[in-house]
Amino acid sequence: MPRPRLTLGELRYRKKPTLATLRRWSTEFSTHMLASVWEGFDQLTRDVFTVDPHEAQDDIERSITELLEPRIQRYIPDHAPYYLQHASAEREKRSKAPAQPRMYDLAFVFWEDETFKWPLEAKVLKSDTRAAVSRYVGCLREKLLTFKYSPFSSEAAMLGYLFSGKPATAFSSIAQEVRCEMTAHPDFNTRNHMTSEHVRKVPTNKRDSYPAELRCHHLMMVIEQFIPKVSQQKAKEHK
Amino acid sequence: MSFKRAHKLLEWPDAKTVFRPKGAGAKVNVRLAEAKIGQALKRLAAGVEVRVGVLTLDANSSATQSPLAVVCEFSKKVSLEILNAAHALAWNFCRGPLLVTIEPHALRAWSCYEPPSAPGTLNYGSEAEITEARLDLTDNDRGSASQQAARTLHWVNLVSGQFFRDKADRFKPEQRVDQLLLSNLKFLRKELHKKRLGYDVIHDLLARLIFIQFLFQRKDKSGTPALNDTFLRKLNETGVLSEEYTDLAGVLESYSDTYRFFRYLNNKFNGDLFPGKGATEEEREAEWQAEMRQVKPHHLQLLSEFVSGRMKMKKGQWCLWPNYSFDAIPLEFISSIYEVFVNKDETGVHYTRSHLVDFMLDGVLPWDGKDWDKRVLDPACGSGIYLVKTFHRLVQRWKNANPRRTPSAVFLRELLENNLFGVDVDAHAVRVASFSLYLAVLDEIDPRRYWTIVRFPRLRDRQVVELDFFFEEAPLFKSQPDVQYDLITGNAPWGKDSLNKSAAARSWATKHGWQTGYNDIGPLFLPKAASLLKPNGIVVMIQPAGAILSNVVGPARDFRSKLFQQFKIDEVVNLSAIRFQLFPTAVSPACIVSMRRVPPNEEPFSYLCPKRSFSSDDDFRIVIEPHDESFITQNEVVSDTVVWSALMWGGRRDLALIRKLNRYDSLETLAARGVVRKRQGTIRGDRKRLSNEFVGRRMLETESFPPGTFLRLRKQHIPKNSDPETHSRDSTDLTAFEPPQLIIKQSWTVDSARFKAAVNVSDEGILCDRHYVSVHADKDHQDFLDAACLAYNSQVAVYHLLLSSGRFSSYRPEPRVAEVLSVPIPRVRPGILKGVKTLADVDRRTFEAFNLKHTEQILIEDLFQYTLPDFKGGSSSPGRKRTCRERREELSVFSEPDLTAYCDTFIRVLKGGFGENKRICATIFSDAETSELPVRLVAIHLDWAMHERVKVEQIDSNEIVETLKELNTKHLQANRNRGASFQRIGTIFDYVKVRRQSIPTFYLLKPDQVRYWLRSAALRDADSVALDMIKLGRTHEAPIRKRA
Repeated sequence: MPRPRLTLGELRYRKKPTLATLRRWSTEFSTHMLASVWEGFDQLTRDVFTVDPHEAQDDIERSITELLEPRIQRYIPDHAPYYLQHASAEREKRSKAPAQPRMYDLAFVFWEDETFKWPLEAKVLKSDTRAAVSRYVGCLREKLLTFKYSPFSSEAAMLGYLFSGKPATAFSSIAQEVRCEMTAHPDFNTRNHMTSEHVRKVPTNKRDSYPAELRCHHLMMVIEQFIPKVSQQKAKEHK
Repeated sequence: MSFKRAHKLLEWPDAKTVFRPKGAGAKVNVRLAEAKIGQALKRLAAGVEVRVGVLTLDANSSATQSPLAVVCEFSKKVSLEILNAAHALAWNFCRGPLLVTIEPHALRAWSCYEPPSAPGTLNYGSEAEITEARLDLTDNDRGSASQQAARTLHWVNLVSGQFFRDKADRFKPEQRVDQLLLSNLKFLRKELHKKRLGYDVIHDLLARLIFIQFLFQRKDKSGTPALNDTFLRKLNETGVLSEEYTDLAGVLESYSDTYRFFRYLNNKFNGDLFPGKGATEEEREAEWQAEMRQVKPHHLQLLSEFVSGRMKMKKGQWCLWPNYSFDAIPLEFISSIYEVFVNKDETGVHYTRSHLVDFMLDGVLPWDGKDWDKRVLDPACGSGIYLVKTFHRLVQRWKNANPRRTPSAVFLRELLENNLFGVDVDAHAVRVASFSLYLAVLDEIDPRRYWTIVRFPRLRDRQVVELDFFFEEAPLFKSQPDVQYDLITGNAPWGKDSLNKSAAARSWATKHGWQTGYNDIGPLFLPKAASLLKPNGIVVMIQPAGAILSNVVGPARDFRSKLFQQFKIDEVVNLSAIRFQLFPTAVSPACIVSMRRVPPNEEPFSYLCPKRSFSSDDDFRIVIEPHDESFITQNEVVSDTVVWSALMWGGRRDLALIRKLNRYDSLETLAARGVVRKRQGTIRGDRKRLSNEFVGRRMLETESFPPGTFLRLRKQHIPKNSDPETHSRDSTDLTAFEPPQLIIKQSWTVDSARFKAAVNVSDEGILCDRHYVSVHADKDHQDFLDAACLAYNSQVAVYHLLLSSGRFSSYRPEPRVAEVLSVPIPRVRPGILKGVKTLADVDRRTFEAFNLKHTEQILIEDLFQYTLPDFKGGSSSPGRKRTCRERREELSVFSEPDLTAYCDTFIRVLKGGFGENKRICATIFSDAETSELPVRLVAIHLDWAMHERVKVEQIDSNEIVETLKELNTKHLQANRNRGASFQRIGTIFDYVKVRRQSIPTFYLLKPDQVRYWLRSAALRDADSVALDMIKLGRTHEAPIRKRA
């Protein structure tokens, strides 16, 4: 039974007019956070590594994410009120024991409340077709839009590791599959970065803690450049 | 009207908040204060009009609120006699440190820690007034001496505890009513025992004495006590007493009438207060006769002298018995005091403190509920303080459910019979608990009805039973639905090998597969209690902190793992930092565990670590400040005990840093890989073995290293050993004493506030005693020893051990050997000690070697410089000092180094989260160096680029007070009348108008003590603010803007 006292947060705010300011700051916060993800990716492009597209998708996803994570870390300011965690557990919607909690590929976790996570889910897109984005779309629909993922945050990001095709086509395929509108993120004009807006159905007993709205950031990261020519050749032969 | 003036002058809460508070916790205190003090004063003299209220930190909370002060407002000027009577009652009331009396012309403050003088002396009672705080309410001159003096009682001073710290000499616990009553009773017991009366009979007689005195003092609305001279006269007329008496002292003068009187009361009240509870008439009479054979007339004569106040105590002082008002003394005090008394505890007051019980019950049985029909069990009931407090709450809940109705005696009797249960292995405890519950019932009933309708149920052996809690066959404990409990609460006994005293507990533990570390019975109370709970029931018990939080021995670890995987934990309160305030003579720290019988669901539970406030607050309140609370998942603590110690003194950033440091090598891991050999120094112990190889070798057996030792140990400073005797079981492997060698002092040293280690670079190995740990590496690995030496002498070692050693973090300066060996060692490189000449060099080199980030260095430095000295040092530690204001002569303003560093760090965090390009700046409101204001105020502005990142704005204290007032009013409007200044720490969001622009601003209000304004505090505060901004920002009130 919780102790009958106000939390610090409750002590601070109940004053509605503040929300407009806070909403704006909150948006800018995600921009700042995602900038470090793009910077990490840029670093990855500068470093030498190769990807074998014939590996299982899960392994490729894991390998790239593992390479990406420390590079993003470099761009997170020392004082930031959050940190980046690889394979971060989401325990809020955990199935009954002995089931293990779901793991985010990456998540920004807040020092003040480590249950509050801002997730980043990575998916390999072998191409930009509607068929190729099915796993990506499945994750968005079945996890992010059902509160299995990102129950507390009103924003989350999907990282598409695009192996072939065009980002614009991939975005379009995703939009068609999800039946949502994709809009370019104004702060990332030079990036393959779109957002989609969704409204989730909040369980009755969670109305105080779960936000209905979800803004999903789609970061399309072109991996083609990391596949050695020989591999690309192999891939063609494979097709 | 007079109060209104005080409200205005001293910024106190308004009259409604003080005299008719909304919160259930404060309401209970006001009701009690009105009944025990207000009504007594009104009866004292005709025409006295007084209203009684309480000043509390949060008058709207449902949690128990220990009053900062009891307030008596008189409608007109009253005599000194009335004021003294008010003070005497407030001293007896003992629920807060201060009494404030307000008359139309004057406001006075009185210490409730100072007793009234003996009646008849010239200045009866008035010495307790704190005259320097007296306020002339007719004086409108703000600059007058009276008004200046009154600033001392300003609300901010009361809330921050500054008033009580400044006047600490007026609030000494030794003069509190509970302490003096205990001392008087002990004196009387000694006198009776000198006259050859056995302790058991003395204790029974004194319980009866308190009970009868309660009847003499418990008055009905007309002022007539339950027992008085008229009543005694009637007893004489009806032949119960042979003579006409006017008071108890008179009755006690007559042996035969005393026992007639006792028998009369026994017949009326039944219960367990008197002898004669046998099954047959013969048995009952035999019990009476047994007592009467021991009690002689001269014993009763002593009792008579005691109750009349004629007995002289130690140092020639008169007995204070006539000054005790048993109607006003909290009943739970009486039972607790009596418990200590019966246990013949000579070491001082050591009982479960009333406010600790309230703190526990607030979480599980708050005052404002309506569900009163709860079955509650105390499995180690002692004096019954938990049962009495629970009884009060159940009665209050019945009243909440039945407004405007008074609980009947029959209902109260049924409550005792059906809802409250206690067990204890001690027969005395069971008697005391029954006695306490009887008093609690009487306190709820109109005294006029005592003689007609009150008949106590027999509690002993039925509801309050002398029994081992682990004895499964007892009807109270059979796990069946009709004997399951809603709440099981209490203070379990614990201690090393305490399990040996209970065969039932051992058997229960074996049967159910539980084992505890160090053979401690305490932790077993949790699973056993859980087995008796209803499906939604809760256990909340005091437990040994070591067993639950920190012990790493196998059984303790297994117990913890099983407990946290099997039951859902609601809350854990680590009481280690306030252990001496709560349990002065306890050998080890305690914690409170609150849990349910259902399995855990991964929902984080609250982990609270209250700290001392170093004022009279510590006697009445457990203060939880925002940084004392963390949230933990059960999964987290099953595998990693460092969570408990790290979050006790630090936050999540600290925990992450400890985990990062733990990824480095340590001497323990190096030893496991065979890189080094290690052992604790030799133990002399039983001296049964002759180790001749020790003789003639240099041996370090002093408490500390030889003077001047810094990183290197010079063999010529170590004497040669001539004593061959060692412990029979001491290790015979001396490899760890061979050179190259590192010797580490096992305990933290006060003078340097660090741990200490030194490398022996000579070709001769040095022995050391058990206060040291010796480590050897071969020459190829000598660099490891140098790196370790650097780490052990650095702030990093102190930081690591304070946040990871269960022992060092809670009570002892000497961590266990395994903990000492777990200190991280930085990456090895040749010449790591080269050029290191001072401790500052050590820290700098260590920080570099560990590649620590700036925020990590802040965490380490602050803990080393402030947190640890505060824990070990106390009220004069650097962290308790006022924040620094440095005068800049050329500018005639102050610079604010502490607050500037705080603001700078705060801004860095927000920029780290929201972007370096964000326009964030801060204003420090700086008052005079000599300011008496105990709080500091800073503002963090968003979207505003001042030319300075942190600006110091010079204003005087009154302006700050005005700002605080204004913020409080705004906060009251926004927060359902809960004012920010009702909290010690507040963060308030507001807009500041600058050139028609609204600047979003956070005001941070905190006590003027350095520890609140550290850079590490800024990290936590800003982390919290940043997350709040994200959380609130995600709640979209309008459709999300579509972006082009």
